[in-house]
Amino acid sequence: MNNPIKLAFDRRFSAIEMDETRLEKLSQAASAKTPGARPIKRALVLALSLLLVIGAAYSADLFLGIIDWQGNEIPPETEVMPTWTPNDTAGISAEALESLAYEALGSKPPEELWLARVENSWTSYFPKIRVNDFEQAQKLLREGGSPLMLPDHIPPEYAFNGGELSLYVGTEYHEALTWLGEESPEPGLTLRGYRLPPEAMGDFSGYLLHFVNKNGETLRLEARLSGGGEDFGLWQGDSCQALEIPGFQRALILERSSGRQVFAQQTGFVPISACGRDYFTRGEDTPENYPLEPEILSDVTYTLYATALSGEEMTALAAQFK
Amino acid sequence: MTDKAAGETESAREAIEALFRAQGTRLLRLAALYLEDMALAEDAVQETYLKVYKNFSAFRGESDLATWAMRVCINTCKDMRRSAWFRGRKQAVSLDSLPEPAVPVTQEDQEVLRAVLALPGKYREVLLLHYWQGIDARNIAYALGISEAAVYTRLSRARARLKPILEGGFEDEQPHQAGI
Repeated sequence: MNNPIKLAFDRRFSAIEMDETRLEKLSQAASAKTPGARPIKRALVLALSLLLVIGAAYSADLFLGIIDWQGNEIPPETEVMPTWTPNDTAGISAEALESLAYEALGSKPPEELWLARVENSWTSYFPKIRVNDFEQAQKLLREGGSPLMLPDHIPPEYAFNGGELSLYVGTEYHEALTWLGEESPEPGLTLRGYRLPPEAMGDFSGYLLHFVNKNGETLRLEARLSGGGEDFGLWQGDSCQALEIPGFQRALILERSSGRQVFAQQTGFVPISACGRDYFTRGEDTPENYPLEPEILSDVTYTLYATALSGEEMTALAAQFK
Repeated sequence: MTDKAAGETESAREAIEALFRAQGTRLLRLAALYLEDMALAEDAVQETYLKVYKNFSAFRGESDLATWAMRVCINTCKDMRRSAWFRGRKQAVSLDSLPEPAVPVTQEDQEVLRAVLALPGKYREVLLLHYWQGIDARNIAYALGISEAAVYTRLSRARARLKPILEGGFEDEQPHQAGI
């Protein structure tokens, strides 16, 4: 079979072998740290039992990491593989260029979509609209005909402390994007811009709204269109419970040492075909063929985070989303 | 310990030693890729060995023993990467800290390595488990705790991204069923 990946990685890792010396070390370590096949005294049985209990707990910790909508605990899917960093470009590392790229993208006006290229990798930053208060967010979502929901009202002890709505680019608007040109703020970094058509300005892919009470306690509401398959971080000491909240397909509450989070999933709207790329990756480098990939957005995941509200108060808040 | 229990312990030890004799290189290379450091990779494989040994009686046969060991190894590497010490390390990493190859690496190999390592992590992980480690989709799903459908999707997207690099690419366009 022609498999250049196997050939390349086998050759690159060819010096790494499980030889007899390493096998012997493994076996010795196991002998030293595990009970052998020999008669043991009663006290050792007790000690072994304790070890097994501790071992079982440790083993359970291994599988904490991610929880899905069904409440299944599964190993996390974090970025765990090494990331290739291209060679320095004109004295600035690719890592620094990526950081500059995100800064540059974040400073663009909301009606413009910008992509950034560092060497052969592309990323985009979808436009965001800042809102001045909760009512403005409600109004914009309503006027845009968005499937995103918001609560009727925020608990009165909390004041608005900032927020933004993010936009998506529907595939139907691809042809209507207006080419703005390219910029190169640093050697090795290229920015490429498009103006969104006015009709795309009401297409919201999510929001993030912050509230704070007089004691500095936080309430954060977040929504994000997604293609399903969401999962949530689960850390040692967290506890998770499934909830039933009217208006949502599924819901979970996570009790964490840092606060509570309620996750709720909304489905049942007409799926949206949108384009997105929010990380650096290789793309076709032609002006007319910008590297946007279509994806189907069929769910909204809501996250309510609070440092001081009880689980009941957060559930009640989620129940008044509409 | 009864004679029966002692016998079971001994047979478990023999099974695990045979497993690591057969799969040890694969686990060690995978750990080296995850951790970019040989000393850490050896620690991770040793930790894997001990966990497999301690939990051998709890192995429920949801996969074959080798896939289970790989799952334990991957989770061990992920745990190590999550440690405060590891997070504090410089993030711009490469394979440069690993031992020099024992056989020559061609220019084409370099391009493949670079392209694969440039993929987003979730695509890269699935791609390497399949095309490098030769694991089928069902067992990748088990090892990573994701659905089989997600494995196929990620493989497909990873292949699409690598297409410009790997013209002529793979003879098998669907994940094969070779097992681990």
